[in-house]
Amino acid sequence: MPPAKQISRFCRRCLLFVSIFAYCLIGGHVKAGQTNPTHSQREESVRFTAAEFHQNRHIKVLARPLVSSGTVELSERGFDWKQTAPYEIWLIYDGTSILERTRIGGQETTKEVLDPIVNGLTRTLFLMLSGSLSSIEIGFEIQQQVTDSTANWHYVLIPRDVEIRGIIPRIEIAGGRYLDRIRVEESQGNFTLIELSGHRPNE
Amino acid sequence: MINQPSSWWPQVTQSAAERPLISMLVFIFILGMLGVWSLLAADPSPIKSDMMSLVYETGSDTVREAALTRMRNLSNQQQLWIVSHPDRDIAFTAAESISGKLAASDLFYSNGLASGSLNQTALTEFYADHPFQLADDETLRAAEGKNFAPLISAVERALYSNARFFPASALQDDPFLLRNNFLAALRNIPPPFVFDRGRLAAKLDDRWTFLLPLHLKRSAFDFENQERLGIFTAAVTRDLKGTYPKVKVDTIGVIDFASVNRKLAIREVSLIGSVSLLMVTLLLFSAFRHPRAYLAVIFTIATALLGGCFASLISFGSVHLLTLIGGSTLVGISVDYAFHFLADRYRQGDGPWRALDTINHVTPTAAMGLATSVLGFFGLWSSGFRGLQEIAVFSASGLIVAFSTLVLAYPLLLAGWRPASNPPFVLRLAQSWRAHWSAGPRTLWLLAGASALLFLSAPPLVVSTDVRPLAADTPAINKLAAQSTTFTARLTDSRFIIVRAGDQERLLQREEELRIHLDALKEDGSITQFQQLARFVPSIRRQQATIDLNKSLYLAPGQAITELSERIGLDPRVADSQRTALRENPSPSSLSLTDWLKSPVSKPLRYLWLGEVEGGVASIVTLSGVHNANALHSRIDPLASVSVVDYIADMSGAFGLYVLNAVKGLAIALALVAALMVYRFGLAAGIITLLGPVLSGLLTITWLLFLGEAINLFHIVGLAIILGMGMDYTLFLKAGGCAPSAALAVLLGAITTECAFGLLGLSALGGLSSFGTTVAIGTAISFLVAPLAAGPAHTASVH
Repeated sequence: MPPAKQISRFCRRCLLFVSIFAYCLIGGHVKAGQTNPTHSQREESVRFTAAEFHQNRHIKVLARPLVSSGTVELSERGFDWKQTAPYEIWLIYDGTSILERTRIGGQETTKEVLDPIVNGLTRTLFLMLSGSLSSIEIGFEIQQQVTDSTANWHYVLIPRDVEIRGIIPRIEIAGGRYLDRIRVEESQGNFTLIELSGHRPNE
Repeated sequence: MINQPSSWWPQVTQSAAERPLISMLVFIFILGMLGVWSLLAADPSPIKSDMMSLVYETGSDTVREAALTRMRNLSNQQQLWIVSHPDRDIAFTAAESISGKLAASDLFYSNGLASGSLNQTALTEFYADHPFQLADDETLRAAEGKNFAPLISAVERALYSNARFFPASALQDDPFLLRNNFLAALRNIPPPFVFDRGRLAAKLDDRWTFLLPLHLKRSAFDFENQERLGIFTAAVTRDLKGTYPKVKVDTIGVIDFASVNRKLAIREVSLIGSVSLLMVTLLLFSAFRHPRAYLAVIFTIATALLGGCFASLISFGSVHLLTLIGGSTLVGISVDYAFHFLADRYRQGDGPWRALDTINHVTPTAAMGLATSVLGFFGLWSSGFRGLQEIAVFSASGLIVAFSTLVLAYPLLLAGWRPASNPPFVLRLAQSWRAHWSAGPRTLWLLAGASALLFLSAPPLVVSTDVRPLAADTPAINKLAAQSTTFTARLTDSRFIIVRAGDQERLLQREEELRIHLDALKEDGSITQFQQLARFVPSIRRQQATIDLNKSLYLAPGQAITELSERIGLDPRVADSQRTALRENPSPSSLSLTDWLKSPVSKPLRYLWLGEVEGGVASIVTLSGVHNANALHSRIDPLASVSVVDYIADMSGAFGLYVLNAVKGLAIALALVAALMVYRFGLAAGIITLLGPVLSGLLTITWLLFLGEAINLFHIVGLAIILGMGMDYTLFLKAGGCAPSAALAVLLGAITTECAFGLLGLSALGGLSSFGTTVAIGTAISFLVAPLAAGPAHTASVH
């Protein structure tokens, strides 16, 4: 395939990928009234203040996944994604703006992230971490999967838009008392898996 | 006494007095012809409300003026709808709900309803044909010196960072993320704004605010458009409030300022006009007690206003609302001549009014009064400020028409009029004032000395060249101004940069060099963001450098791609595919500015391109959130062919020039009036006659200084009016001598003028308020000083 065509495809995918996160938030309270009561209960039960994360990004053109880990600290309005390995990179989200704090050779650098796509993705991640399914439900059809234990839950989020579904068919979120796992499926079999453990409860 | 008029004048007055109907028809015919001429000369929308259109550009830099016009037109057509609520989702939903209605409305272009940003899909497709020419600044800096270790490290870190966006498939086409980062740089928006679900949003004062930028289909200064938009906005807001009671909807745009200013102008014109008219009515009935006199004065006012409008239309093609407000004071001035005419009736004694006698008695003095007033308005004209020039033309023409009515219309209008049998109270009052408030020149000189001492002891004179006196000071305007600062200035500041070069390539290179400085200003917080063409179209030099970089990364010995592949485990086929593409087409065609400008993707940013100018090309670089203008100037001003345009500062600079011109104009007017007075009365009497108005002006300025006012353009042009009015009073009292009729006319004229300008002093428009206050103070002083300058009155009895 000529590079020009490849770039065109790449760009379209980028946009569609971004659109998912934009789309998933569209709709607002008109649809919020349709929220399944189970979701509301779940929203109450999954709040936590901190957890360890382990992120694997599986990209087909890479022989091994991009693995990173650290802790996530959740607040009322945002979260701090404190990645410690393989590089120390913090993502600080206050509900509005995002700061990226990196440390290279003992030198710390903080930079405001102005990319609106990153902002949209970060907000979506925040909604998942904070269990705000009613906001997520605006753009996603939420299916509850049967799990082996009544104490566990497992939601599959299917983009309502057919075109977006062709690129990211689904996002899965699962857990028990807390959110434990987020799996974002991309096109061509690429996916990102985020696993959370060691949750500290919201007191 | 006033000299006899020239030989042709008695013939005119005699003809007018003997054939009143014909002279009236001649007057109406001339006025009608002026009306027809003005209709032919008038713009399609003859009533203007754009304040900025009143300011002539003073520079000779056509590129700068083209850029200013471009930015102003752009700003005039934009309106920002602001939907806010404490809850983010509710604010968003409300904004979405409104956007549907806005899109369906025929008031706006529907494509302006997107996020207000570029169409990302079209943009990325456009760049797809140039895979190896695009890279962001950070990447290029990291690759400097052919040491690719920092670049490889940066790419590796970016892959692990959740603060960087790249879809998994990006690595397949762009392992070093060069194009990915280039596109990301185009997406940046100035803080505190974010994109939320495709809409520009910000959290301000604990409320989530969604912005809907719109492009108006019709002019912001079209009154019908303003009315329709007002009705539409009210309906949309009402509907939305029904669903979301706590949602706030605001709109900001030039159209909102224009609409508020228009309503304010209409209110003030109505108020000043009505109260002046009421005052004139009361005075007329108390002084002349006859409807015929009233009819004559109303005729003068109406024709004077019509004459002013016609002259403005012929001279400027339009009449500005500011002119109408300023010109509404004409009601107060134009009746002065009518008062002199009517008051002269008391000089004639019993029996029916004798037109020729009055005309011959009053018009020479009135003509000289008219000349001094017109010279005063010349002071306004010479300020160079379009708004004041319009008022000068409007008022001078109105006064000439008012004067004409005396000769051509009054013989018919007042034919057979008899005075009241008993002298009215105001006549006795005027007589008393004239008899007791007069002294010799010595008193006047003493007063002049005291005034000079007062002036010297006053607080220091501060001249203000601030453009803000133009703005109205009302809650509605202040709210719009505050919102404009909060939203509009953060998105696009009134300051911008013009870049010039010999051709497109050099222009883009110059913009790229400028970007280094602007990035530094961003870094230190002096500005928050900027927008330029070179972000979207790199110079050919830079494109070539990026191609060379790609060749080095993929084809050079010890290729960087090999190291990156090893570190991140990249499939070797990815590197092979990039190598093949570069080898097959080692010199891909460049992305040109011309192609970009032709493409639909450039539509929202085409205004940045000024095109070919003065043997070269030029472009605009817009700025957002300028927090430190000094830092901006100190960094950018030294750069060659790059200039910062600070619209507000430039306007203030222009105002400084206008102030200087106004002072010059005032001096010229004073010199001309002095020459006229010396010619008429001789050196000593001429100077004494002039001393009254000069003293009034000096005392007015002293008064303003004690009030703590910084003297602005409007104060200075007010002095020109004081000169005209003061001369009028002095001349009529001087000409009237012992006759109480002259004192009566001056008293009535002073009251109506005081009323008109006093009301103008209360105007919410700062400039007009300064103007009105100055003239009101000056007129009062002129009225008190005029008898001293006119010389002592002899005892007179009332007929």
